[in-house]
Amino acid sequence: MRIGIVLGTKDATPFEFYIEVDNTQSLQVDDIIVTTSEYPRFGKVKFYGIVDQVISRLEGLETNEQARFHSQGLFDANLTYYCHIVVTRTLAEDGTSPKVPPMPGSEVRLADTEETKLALYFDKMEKRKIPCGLLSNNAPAYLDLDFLLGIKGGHVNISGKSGVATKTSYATFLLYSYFSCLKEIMEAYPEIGTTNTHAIIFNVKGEDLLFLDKPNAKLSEKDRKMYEAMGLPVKPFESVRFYAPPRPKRGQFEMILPNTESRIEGVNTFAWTIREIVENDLLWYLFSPKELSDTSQLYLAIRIATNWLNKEIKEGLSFHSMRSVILTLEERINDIMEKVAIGTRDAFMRRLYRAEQEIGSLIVPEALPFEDEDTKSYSIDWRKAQVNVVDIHRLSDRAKYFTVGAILKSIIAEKENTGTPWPLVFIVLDELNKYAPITGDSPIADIVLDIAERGRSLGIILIGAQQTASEVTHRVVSNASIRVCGNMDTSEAEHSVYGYLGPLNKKRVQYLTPGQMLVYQPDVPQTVLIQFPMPAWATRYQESIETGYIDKDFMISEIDIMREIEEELGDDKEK
Amino acid sequence: MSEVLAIDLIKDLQVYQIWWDDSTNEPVDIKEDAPPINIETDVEVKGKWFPIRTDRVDYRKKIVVVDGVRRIDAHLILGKTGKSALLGEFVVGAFSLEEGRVIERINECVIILPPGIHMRESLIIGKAEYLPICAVNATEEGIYSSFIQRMRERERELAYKFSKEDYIVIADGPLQVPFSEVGVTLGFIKSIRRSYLYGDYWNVVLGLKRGERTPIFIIRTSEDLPPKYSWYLRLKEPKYFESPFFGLVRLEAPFNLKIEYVQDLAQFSGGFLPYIISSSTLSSRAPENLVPLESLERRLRAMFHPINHIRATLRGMIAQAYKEV
Repeated sequence: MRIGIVLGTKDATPFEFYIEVDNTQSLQVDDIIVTTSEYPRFGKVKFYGIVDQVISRLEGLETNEQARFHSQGLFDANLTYYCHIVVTRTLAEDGTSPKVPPMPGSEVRLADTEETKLALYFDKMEKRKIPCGLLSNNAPAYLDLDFLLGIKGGHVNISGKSGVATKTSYATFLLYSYFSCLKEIMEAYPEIGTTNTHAIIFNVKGEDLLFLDKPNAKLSEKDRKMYEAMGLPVKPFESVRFYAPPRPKRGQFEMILPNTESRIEGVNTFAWTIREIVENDLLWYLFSPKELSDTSQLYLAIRIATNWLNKEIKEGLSFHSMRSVILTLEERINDIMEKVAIGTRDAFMRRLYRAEQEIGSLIVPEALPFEDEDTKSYSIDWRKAQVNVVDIHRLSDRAKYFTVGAILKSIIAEKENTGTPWPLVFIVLDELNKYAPITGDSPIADIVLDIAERGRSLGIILIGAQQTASEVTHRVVSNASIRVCGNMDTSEAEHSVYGYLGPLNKKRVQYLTPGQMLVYQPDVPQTVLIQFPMPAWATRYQESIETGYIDKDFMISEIDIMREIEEELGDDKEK
Repeated sequence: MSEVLAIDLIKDLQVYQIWWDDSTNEPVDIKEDAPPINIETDVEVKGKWFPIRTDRVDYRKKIVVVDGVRRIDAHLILGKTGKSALLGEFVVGAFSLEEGRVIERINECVIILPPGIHMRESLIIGKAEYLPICAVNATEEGIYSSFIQRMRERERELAYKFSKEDYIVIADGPLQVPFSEVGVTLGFIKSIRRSYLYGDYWNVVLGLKRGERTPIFIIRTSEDLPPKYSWYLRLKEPKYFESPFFGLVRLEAPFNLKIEYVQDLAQFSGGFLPYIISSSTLSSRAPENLVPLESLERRLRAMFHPINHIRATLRGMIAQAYKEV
């Protein structure tokens, strides 16, 4: 369908040109267009491009007065409606890509589905791609897996304000798209072999992710159509395990239950024993980045304490809680830390006390006499499911640092030991600005940076997110091949880290609506706007019950039982 | 027609020399405005004149403004006779006040030849096709007035066409002969260079306030031509330092209309023309130049063929014509 012509009054170049829209037609930003020109040397060359600005104006007027006269019907002017086009691709009939300008007057059409694929290089991705949303013309957009899986690049970075259908939703959607296409992906990448892929999602907000395995009963027809258009099924995640921290304030022999509200069934508890902390060298993560940077000697104290505890545990000493560690250390501190300044010793102990308040509940005794073998371990075994949701949203910042740091460290260690990047592990981590802030240095920042820089070769792919990428260490953001941007302030978008957006997209970020994302990937020269559907899985209890997947009575009775237990425990304490 | 043929035409005409003078492109209208031989002042008001007030009306009616613009592309010196010809282009068009836009634009390129010199075909230079027209006489003035006349005819045709479509036409400049073929057309004369009235009558003209008009009078210019109705209208009052002619225009209406209808037209003209005048930032001929007229003229000028291209091509063609000689 003809939509306009290439303008000759403005320079047309191989990289950008202008088109005037016919007065019976209209074009909007993000539309994809095609035009053809013929050249003696190259024959017919097709130009594919994206509209990145649309302009209307009264041509030939010099003053506002004339425009006013025009509005009064006293002055004629040529109303022109024209668009700026960013050329994404030129394609001659022999498949080459000559860099020639389109000829003024050439007819311009809207791209059809096939031409859209060519315009955005989706054809070059062959089978190495997954759908990542729908373009403005409802054609699917794809992510180049070579740049996701660590072949040519890896990692995704998502920026944007918090809200409905934003960063985590998009990260989850990408995982859904990936796991839905896993069979095809394994064919396209023989090196994956028979290994599965796993994902660990750190849930930092609400309990939205606790129903990934339940279908969304309230999914609209429109959203269903969007999944269909992308060739994706409409169903929940198939292989999911949920992990939540233990409920705090429990006695030594009380039951360890996951600290979740809307769902208990199928939720595992994660926790660490003192032995695990010491053996895996996790003591660092008990301290907040600020504490570590404030007292430089603290590093030495932690090192010495770890060594000493390690030795003691090997010799048979066992600790049931943080408190027991603290008491033991306090008693012997002067012997253990001879070389450490007294001030530092005090600081170390003080901070350990503070850590106990916040992290103490994450520590479990080594073995509980009445528990059977299956539930004995509170560690996270990500190999047991494709998607592992680790709920940390109720934890304090210090406990979050500890949990994220400890889990990431153990994954890195495990991957280093196996020596192969397969199976792949996706890490979905929001609030990167907390874990890897632009200023300061900390063990948790080191580990995030380590994944960003070395993760590709280890098969650890970071899908990181933050409200403001300008507050995250540049090395973490710049290592992400795929960058995504949702609604944010224009002032934030002015930071150089968003250079990939280009000047016009920087202005429009604040107008993005829920479900809209600007996606940049290395082999597509233009950042494209995509729309992704509401989740096919439930994000809250109410969305899941109507499908009959969860027996309502069962669910309620679970919660009731749990509450009863709690009450009983409380009563016991009082006695 | 091919370029070869155009070159042959140039050879036939013995075009040797060309020159142009852009300063003569917009000459004053005075030459076209023939002196009156008789004025009748008692057609509307008998006896002592007084200014007539008009009430404001909406201009968004079936009204068109018709005007033309012209350009001299080149003067040609033909052969050894020293006779000259003129290459010119004009565009006539109409602005509809109802639609608020230019609704018609017609351009024509002409080559005005002195009497006795003929051309077989039009001369094509670039994309412009110059139609041969024979001048009334061989003088430079005669050639030029033939050019103007040609444009005026086209303007009148356009005015007539619209008046037949029930438009009220406001044509720039005096009414063109024959008046019988202009339909309901008002001539709009911006430049007051000749006084048609004297004494008390003229004092009434100079004393007009904004939106006021004089009574209608009749102008006869010659025995052969039909007379025309006319009245003065004040579009804007002069400030203390401005000439009393400032903001003063004269309108003409064909004599074949009934006086009652002309009275209506006169009232009507006063009811909207003062409200669509241009400002000095818009037009160098403000305020008499109406906004739609200024707009129309600009849009018409945009239709001219690119002058530098025409002149360069013509030079090239002349050089080509005498290459072998």
